[in-house]
Amino acid sequence: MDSGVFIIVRAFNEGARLGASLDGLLPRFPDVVVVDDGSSDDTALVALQRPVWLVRHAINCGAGTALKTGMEFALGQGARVLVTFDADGQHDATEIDRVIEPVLAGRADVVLGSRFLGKSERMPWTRWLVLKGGIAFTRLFSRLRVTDTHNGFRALSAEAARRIRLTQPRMAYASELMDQLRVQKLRYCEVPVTIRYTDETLAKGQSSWNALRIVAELVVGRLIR
Amino acid sequence: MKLTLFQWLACGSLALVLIFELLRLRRGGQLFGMWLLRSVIWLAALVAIADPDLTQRLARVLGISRGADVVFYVFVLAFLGTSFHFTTRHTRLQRQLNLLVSRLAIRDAERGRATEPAPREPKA
Repeated sequence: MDSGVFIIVRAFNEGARLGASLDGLLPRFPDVVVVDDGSSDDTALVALQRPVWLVRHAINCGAGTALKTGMEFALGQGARVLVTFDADGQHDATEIDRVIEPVLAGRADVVLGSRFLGKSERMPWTRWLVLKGGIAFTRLFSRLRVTDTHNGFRALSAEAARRIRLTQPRMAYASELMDQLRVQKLRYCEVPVTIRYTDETLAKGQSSWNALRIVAELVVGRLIR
Repeated sequence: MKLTLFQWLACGSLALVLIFELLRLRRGGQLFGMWLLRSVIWLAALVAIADPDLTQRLARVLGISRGADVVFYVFVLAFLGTSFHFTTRHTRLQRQLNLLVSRLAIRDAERGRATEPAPREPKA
């Protein structure tokens, strides 16, 4: 069945967790694009054992570049709706229908998953604090009234994916994407999603101090065009 | 004006660098603006070392108390300018490299296969 819904899964050294995430997606969404961002483990092998598209970066370019690659590939394959989904099992594949519904219904160009409208399981208080700071930063600089930021669970229409211009190669892309919603005058909405934190994802994921790095990358990125 | 050993060594080295720059200009193949910038820096360093009073006089003209402070401020400004220049270059280069990596990845995309079921153990 050609639904036109493409799931983009960015993966960097996620060999241990990627298989379970893909197995959760594949029964219902046949068009899955795994972007292996220069992993040194068996991420690519795990992906190739399943009927998914594998797009491999020769070197680690960062989450922003990986997302761009995935979006460009999916658009080239005729995607109508693009969903960004984490490889590490933090997201719940059963919630994808809820995330894509506003795009399919034509009510929104971009749908943002919100863990603060939905559920966060085992979120450390330091992460909560940093995220709240990030939300305040987004509201101030991007002038968007959002309840979550830097949540990798989103859906975009093909038109929105074509119009969004991302230049930030690493994690700061998420803030840049918020800016682009305003700059490109895209209709957006938030839907509740669940984020599951585990010891593994917390150990591997972003450090709370990365927030400072993201701000620095955004400032430099705005100075350099 | 009697030069110290350090002044002789430093000015001699800088004079050699300037001669080398002149030879490079004659050979061609470089941007004149960059050549001029480098040559002005070497020449300014040579003059400042050969005649330290010159920086002192310049300091007075600029309303700064000491010649050494002029040199320090110039270095701070040069450092900031150079840092920004290289940050810009690095960022642009990184973007180009990422674009290249991305295009190659899309060109060489592969399709995985469904896992084949494991062969069954023969019944005893």
